[in-house]
Amino acid sequence: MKPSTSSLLTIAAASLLLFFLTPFQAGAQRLDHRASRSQMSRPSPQARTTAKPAARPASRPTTTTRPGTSNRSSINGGYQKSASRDISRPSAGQANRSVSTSRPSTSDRSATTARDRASSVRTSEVTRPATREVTTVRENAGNRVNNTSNNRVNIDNSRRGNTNINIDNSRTVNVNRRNTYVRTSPRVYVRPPYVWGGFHFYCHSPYYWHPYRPYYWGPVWHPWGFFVTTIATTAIIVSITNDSGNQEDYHYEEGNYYLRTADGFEVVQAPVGATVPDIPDTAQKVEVTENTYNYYYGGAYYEKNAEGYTVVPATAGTIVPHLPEGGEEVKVGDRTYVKFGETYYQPIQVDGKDMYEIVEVQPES
Amino acid sequence: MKRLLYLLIWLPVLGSSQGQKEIDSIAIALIDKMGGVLGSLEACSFTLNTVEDQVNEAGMLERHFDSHKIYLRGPDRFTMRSRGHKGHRGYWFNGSLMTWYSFDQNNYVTIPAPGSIIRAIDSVNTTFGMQFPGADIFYPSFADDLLSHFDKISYAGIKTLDNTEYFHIIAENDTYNFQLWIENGAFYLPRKYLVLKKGSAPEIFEGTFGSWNTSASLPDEIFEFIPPKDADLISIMPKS
Repeated sequence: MKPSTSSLLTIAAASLLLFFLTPFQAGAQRLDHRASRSQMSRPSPQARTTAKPAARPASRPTTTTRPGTSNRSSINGGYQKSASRDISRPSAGQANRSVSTSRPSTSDRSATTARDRASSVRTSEVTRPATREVTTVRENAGNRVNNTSNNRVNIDNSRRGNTNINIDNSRTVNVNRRNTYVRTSPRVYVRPPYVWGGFHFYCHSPYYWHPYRPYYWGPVWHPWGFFVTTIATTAIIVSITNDSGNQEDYHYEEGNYYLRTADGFEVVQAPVGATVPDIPDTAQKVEVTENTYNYYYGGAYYEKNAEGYTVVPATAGTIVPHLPEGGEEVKVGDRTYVKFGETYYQPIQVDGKDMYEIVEVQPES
Repeated sequence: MKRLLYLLIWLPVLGSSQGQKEIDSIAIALIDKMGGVLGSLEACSFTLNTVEDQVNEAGMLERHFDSHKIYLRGPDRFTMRSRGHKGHRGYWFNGSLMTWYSFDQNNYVTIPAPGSIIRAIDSVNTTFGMQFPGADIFYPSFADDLLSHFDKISYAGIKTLDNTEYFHIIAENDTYNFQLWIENGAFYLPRKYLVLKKGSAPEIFEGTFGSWNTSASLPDEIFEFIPPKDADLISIMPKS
């Protein structure tokens, strides 16, 4: 069968593509070490023995390493070089010459001791951003929050708190009650993102590291995880439907949100969507855009509306002066961010003062 | 149409003919000699001063300087202190755990790593992007690594640097130019390397070795990291 011109063209184009899709890749360190890695990734020393030489196919390349170079105590396991090198003529098969039957040692006595010792050593957590979609905040949206317009607000006056706010979030999309996801910044980023691990980390301000020292918003504020056996009768109940569809009753007082436990009450993060009549006076007004502001208190962001103050997700680009307890410092390449759930904060400096900007994290496209 | 077809068929062939290698056996023999010496060392220490030219946020080429003091003890002990544009930091590898510590920030990352020096640094470099300058030269099949990925490797003769003679080797492919200076002495130790990334966003990495001690006596203790007072163990995000 004679191939058609179009099928020949397809084959030719495919071979062209394959040819150009084999770039030099600078892997480990500055140069590529595929040959060394093939040595290092070979099986354990037992496999090196000649117990089953006959099992090897006769056509297998015999590129044994020269004897005497392997050294168990060497700083790199002993130098390896292929015996099959033929550098007198141009080679098409250079990459295969590193196939060797010799390899660096993979075990030693001292490593076992170190491992035993290491079992009691704490190691770092390996973390990466979630690749969830982020919601958007509109420019000049004012302080309106999109889940308030159709909410039933049911005030229970039976308690002194007088307020049992029952928020119907059935119209809210993609709500993380723990206030740990980020809305995209309505402002355009001028600075290029910091790129790491398949993600782009956008910020308006330059990175300026300073230590993460949790801030305390006065004596009435409690950090997350704080436990009390009883709460004041002035606390109000805020009912929130969580992501699983279950209703959770939060007890709110003076900027603190409590969840009931078996023994008492535990302070938790402010649930997104909760509306409370008032927030402490020490809440700070933080700029989201030129005309939009949030109120920031205890690590939570509020938008003011007719009903009071509604907890909203953090908006990327917002600058805050302090962070509460509960953050986790994460080394991201050469930078160290502070992470709360899925919210990354970049340490920055504004007019000589240490501050944090909420990072917009986008997966690399 | 027919001409286009012929062109498409022959282009890969023409391309591969351009990729023919020019390898100087003297250069390879010198690298093997150096590699053999490094591979026979059971412990050593040296200094390394590095220079990096990289494009900064403003799109300008910016030069950074770092200095490192490195201690290696085979097969699985490694420690390094570095100072420079990334601050003052240290690495410790005790055979099973690799620790990165920032003296400036007083925080550290400790992660499990495979049990040999090269495997460990290769692993944390690949997974977490930690850079170990000069480590390329210590890879056990360094000459084969170069042969695999460079089209031309040549010996450029003996050059004098700081009143000492060095063998000068140049390797090049479409993307990179690599140069190495090996001491013309009994030990054939590396003295200097240069990595030039070509193209529209050029990058330069240069390292100068010094203060070689090839018979260092290095106790276990220097490879163990003990967290200083109030140091924070922090999380780390992988590179890939």
